[in-house]
Amino acid sequence: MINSLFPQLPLHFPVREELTFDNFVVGKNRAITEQLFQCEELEPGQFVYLWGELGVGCSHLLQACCHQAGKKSRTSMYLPLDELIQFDASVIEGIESVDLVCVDHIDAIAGHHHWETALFHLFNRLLDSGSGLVVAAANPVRLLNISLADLASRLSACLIYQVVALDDDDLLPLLQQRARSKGIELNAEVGQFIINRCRRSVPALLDVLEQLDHNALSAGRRVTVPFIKKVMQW
Amino acid sequence: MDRLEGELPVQQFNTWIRPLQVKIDDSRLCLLAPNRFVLDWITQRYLQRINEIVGELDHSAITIEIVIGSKNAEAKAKLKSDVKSGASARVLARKNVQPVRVNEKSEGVIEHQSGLNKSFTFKSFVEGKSNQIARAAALQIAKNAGGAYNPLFIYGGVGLGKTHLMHAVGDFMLNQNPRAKVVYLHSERFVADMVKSLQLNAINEFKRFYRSVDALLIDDIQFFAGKERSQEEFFHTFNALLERNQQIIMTCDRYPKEISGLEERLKSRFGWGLTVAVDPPELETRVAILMKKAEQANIDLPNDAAFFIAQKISSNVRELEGGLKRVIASAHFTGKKISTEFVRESLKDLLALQDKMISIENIQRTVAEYYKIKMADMLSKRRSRSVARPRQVAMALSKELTRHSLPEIGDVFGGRDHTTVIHACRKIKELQESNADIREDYKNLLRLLTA
Repeated sequence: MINSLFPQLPLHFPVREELTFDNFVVGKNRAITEQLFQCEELEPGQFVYLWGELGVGCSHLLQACCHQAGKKSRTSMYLPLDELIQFDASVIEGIESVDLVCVDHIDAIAGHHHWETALFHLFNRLLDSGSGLVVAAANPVRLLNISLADLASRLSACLIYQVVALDDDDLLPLLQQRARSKGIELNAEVGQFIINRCRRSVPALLDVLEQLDHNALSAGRRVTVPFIKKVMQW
Repeated sequence: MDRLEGELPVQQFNTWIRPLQVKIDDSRLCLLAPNRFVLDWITQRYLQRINEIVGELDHSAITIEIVIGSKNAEAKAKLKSDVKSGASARVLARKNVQPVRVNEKSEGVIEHQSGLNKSFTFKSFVEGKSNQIARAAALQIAKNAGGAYNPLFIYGGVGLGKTHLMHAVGDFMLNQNPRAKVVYLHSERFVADMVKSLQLNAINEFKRFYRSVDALLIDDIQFFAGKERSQEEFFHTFNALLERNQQIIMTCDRYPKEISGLEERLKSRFGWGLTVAVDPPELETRVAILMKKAEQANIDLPNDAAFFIAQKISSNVRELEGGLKRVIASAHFTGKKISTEFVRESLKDLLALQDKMISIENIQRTVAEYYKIKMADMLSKRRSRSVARPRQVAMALSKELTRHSLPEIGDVFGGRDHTTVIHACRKIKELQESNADIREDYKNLLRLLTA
């Protein structure tokens, strides 16, 4: 009764989620994770280019590479270009001294001459220094719209992989894993109920999970099928 | 570091903290940042917290400072005490690469390495109609460096082998005379070294270094465009080398006269020697390149598989190599033999063969055509097997090839419930295991929709 009159206001404490190879749900991307897991040991100049639609896990993989490099006492740098583009390209000067560079969202700088040139030069310096490079984008190189042909051709020489979306069988463990990290126990039946009704992409599922988490905290309820039906109006 | 890792959001830690190197001398903890930007960012946002953490962990008076630098550069750049030649630090900072052929100390303070990639030789260069003149010219110059053809200017599109030829000349020269001072560098590094030398008041060392080489190989000269001070310096270096019959080789993406933003006097000098073009390789050369690369990688690449790759990738050699690398990686991963079918499957990622937008409507139309039923039947309430089975196949394909929710899929198939979609998918999965026709149909349709 009191609960319904005065719903609890959930405090927003963002959960710190590790992004490692251990908690990456692999699905059909086994060849990629095996390749990246040992990305330190790749031949110098053997750079990797990943592409895949939003939410398939490219950013997770790149940050897992950084984590993995850290475990081997190597330096690394994660460069989310969609955010860094607001700054001057001097942010990437001299970073060939870092053992592993992970460039995310390279699509964001397509058509920005200054950034394209800076990345091209970085590419050459990384080749010289023998450091590793993993690049991620939403599109294959051919569809990137990079204006600087020198950069596009170098990207096309990378080891290119498409990161593919998880199929329904893999979405359930992912959903359960993410729910667990929020302190929610989702049994298979409840998880499948969500997957059968939601758009079957990771961002869409995580969005639903976020809404359920917020509402469950606020109402002081467990996440059950009736509760989900009520919150999501399914 | 561990403490900070536990406190900061993962992305922030990976972007700003992981690139830092730590150096400890006595009571001084030095954080090495790769550049000014990172240094400022760390100083403004994290240095106070780093100080607190270090204070909590160690009560002794330890001083923390953050500077620009790296251990690799420090270890390898054996500069003299006044460190005037910071300009060359990058030249020396190769970590794992082994291609360097020469590592000798020049006069003055700058040490140098040739920067040559030992895999780029004349032997590994595949000759074809598109590059035979350039190759012949390069070989001639390698045999008679500093002679009649000085400078050599190689131009052409990206990834066609200009850099390879340039390195091959350097390699040949070093084989003839291991003490020859051959320096390969990208034009950007010439600019960066010059800027650094100016900052460090070491321009004389810079000049002495670049004018003392037997052969200067400068890649992608077009990046000098708009950099007037660098052009000025290069102009003088160029003249000095030419006067003393030291060889200059340059590459560029276009003919000298067409480089905008470059001084006229440079353009005209670039054309004084020999100017040769490299064109995109024709099909047979592309196949030969693939066969050569496969041989170098000790991989058995059948002729028809090489033809398939060469037909699909025609733009440049770099992309061709990228394709082959991917095929080899797949072969290693799966343990399968390379065939044309295997190559087709492996190159899907690279060629984006699946990138065609697949809509449910497209799936419905393709399936209807395949089974020779009307599109309207897909949406109708009819339940006869001749219509229901194709409809179920189309539903299963929609689930597999799109990210639409099951209710959305049901809706597009005549307003059906999501449970009907689940049933259809389950049914088709079962039938694929028990019925060869359905298995074949499904495979054919998948290929039609994704090829």
